[in-house]
Amino acid sequence: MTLAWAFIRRDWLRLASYRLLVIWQALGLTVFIAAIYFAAGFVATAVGMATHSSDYVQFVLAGIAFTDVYLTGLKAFPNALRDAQLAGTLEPMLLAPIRLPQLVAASSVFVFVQSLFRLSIVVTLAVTVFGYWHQANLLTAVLVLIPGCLTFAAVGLVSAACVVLFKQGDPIAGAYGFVSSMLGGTVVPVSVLPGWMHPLSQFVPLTHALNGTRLAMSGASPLKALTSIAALWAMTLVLLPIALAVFSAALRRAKKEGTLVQY
Amino acid sequence: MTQPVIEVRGLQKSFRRPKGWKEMLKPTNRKVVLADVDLVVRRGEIFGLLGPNGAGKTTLVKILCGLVAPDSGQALVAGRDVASQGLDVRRRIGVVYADERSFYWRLSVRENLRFYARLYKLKSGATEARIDELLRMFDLTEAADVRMHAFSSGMKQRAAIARGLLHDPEIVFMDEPSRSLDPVGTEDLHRVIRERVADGRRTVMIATHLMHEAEALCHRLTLINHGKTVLTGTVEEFRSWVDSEIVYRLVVGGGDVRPEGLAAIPGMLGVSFDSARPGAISLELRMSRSATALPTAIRYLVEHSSDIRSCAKEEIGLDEVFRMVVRGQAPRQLEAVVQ
Repeated sequence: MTLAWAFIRRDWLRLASYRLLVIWQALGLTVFIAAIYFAAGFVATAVGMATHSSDYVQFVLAGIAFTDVYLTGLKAFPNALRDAQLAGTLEPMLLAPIRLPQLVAASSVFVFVQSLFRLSIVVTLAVTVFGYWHQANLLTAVLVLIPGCLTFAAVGLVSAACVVLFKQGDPIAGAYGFVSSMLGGTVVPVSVLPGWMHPLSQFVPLTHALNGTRLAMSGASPLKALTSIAALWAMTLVLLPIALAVFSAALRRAKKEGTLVQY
Repeated sequence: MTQPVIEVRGLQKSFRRPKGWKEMLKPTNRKVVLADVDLVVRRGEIFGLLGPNGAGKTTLVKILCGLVAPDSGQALVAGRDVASQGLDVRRRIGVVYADERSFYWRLSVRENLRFYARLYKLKSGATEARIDELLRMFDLTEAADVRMHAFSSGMKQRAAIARGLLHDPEIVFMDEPSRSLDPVGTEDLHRVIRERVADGRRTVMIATHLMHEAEALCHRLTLINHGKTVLTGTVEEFRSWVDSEIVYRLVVGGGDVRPEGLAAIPGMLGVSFDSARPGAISLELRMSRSATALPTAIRYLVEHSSDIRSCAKEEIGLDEVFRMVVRGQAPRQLEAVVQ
């Protein structure tokens, strides 16, 4: 916990030192929510959901806000590693008596905190201003979020392994994030996608994560979201050991080739 | 100062040579960086790892810190194997870089040290006192809360040493500590290392290509070249090896001066002969200090040339030993001690 707190403090101080960035991020979030509210009405009309435009706004808000959290799991590890490589601080950190996976996890805590903060703002505004999600079941949401984040973190760990080995040109984060957003139902329901995409979408963790999350936000009990929760845990149990093995192998290779701290 | 604290036995390391696009399908060549390195550093000493750029010094330091895995051989630091007991080794070592980028420049030095103190699991109660102590020790108290991007190179280097000592390690590695410093900054840094880093109980290993730095700081040195340890000894031993030799540079008028005639003089260790200038010959005579080669050489030159125009004695410094060994021109008495 002390380690995670050290990284949160470091990242907050670094962020706060760029005052314009802090202002811009706060402003950006407000603009983002307003844009979704107004744009969703137009999109809903375009896809023939005009009579359900309020449902669609909720659909898109939940899709974008929670996808942001899940994709943070995907990008946090490789980004933290790459940032330290470029800043030149990776080497002194690696010399501390801490294991690299622990270091990578701790370095990523702040961006998770940031994305959860963004999510909490979106949810608060959705509830208080737009009157959505009054029935939301928080327990279900947490039970979906945990395995959802873990599956993305597992893929993020493979992406971090690519950064350890190749430094740049990581094919995982970008491609996986894109495919997930396309097939996972972030802004368009999976049901309106072409038929051949439906079976593929079942292999994408985001599909189950967003299904479960939307059920939670509509007030479903954990039992009703069990299919999504079970699918996400199954994916976590398969992906996480593989990801840890890949990351360890990348680490051994980089130490052997002396490229661990190169950028 | 007798107990070994760093022991390196038969250490070998090679790296893949980077390939261009055209060589992508060709087999990978490897470059040997360390070839069978043996080394012993004793507790409490300042040990210099000397060598030209690319000699393998930094690789050796990185292996000792656990950042690079050796191909074969063994490295023990504080009695622990760096390959299998990396975490335990890292608790006992501090590392100081010349790379200024190793700090968060948007943060103050105090905040940087706080962050690294957490990584070393210093207790929060003791952290502030330790940071204050180090800031005082390295004259950084006044700048403690200033962002580090406003720091000079010398201040950043002192901050790097403070960070290396945060957890009071028993061994400190310093890789080219004075790389970006001016002569005054270098002198200050050497004083700091002598007085505040090497406190008698702490072992310090300094990797440098600067002979004068090693001479100013180290008790013992190892000269490393092409990945091999070439010479090991105390500064006094290094000095005695070169003090036994003396060089004279002469310019003589034309005549019948022959290098083989000079080389045959007892005590003459080497003759460099240049007759490119018309009517003059430039000579570099390397001779044993103990022998009386000079009078014989002068007699020879008086007899075989029209005149002796100049004669200057040149002392060989430790820098010259470094150059000679690196270029494979070690004189005979040095060859005897080259490993």
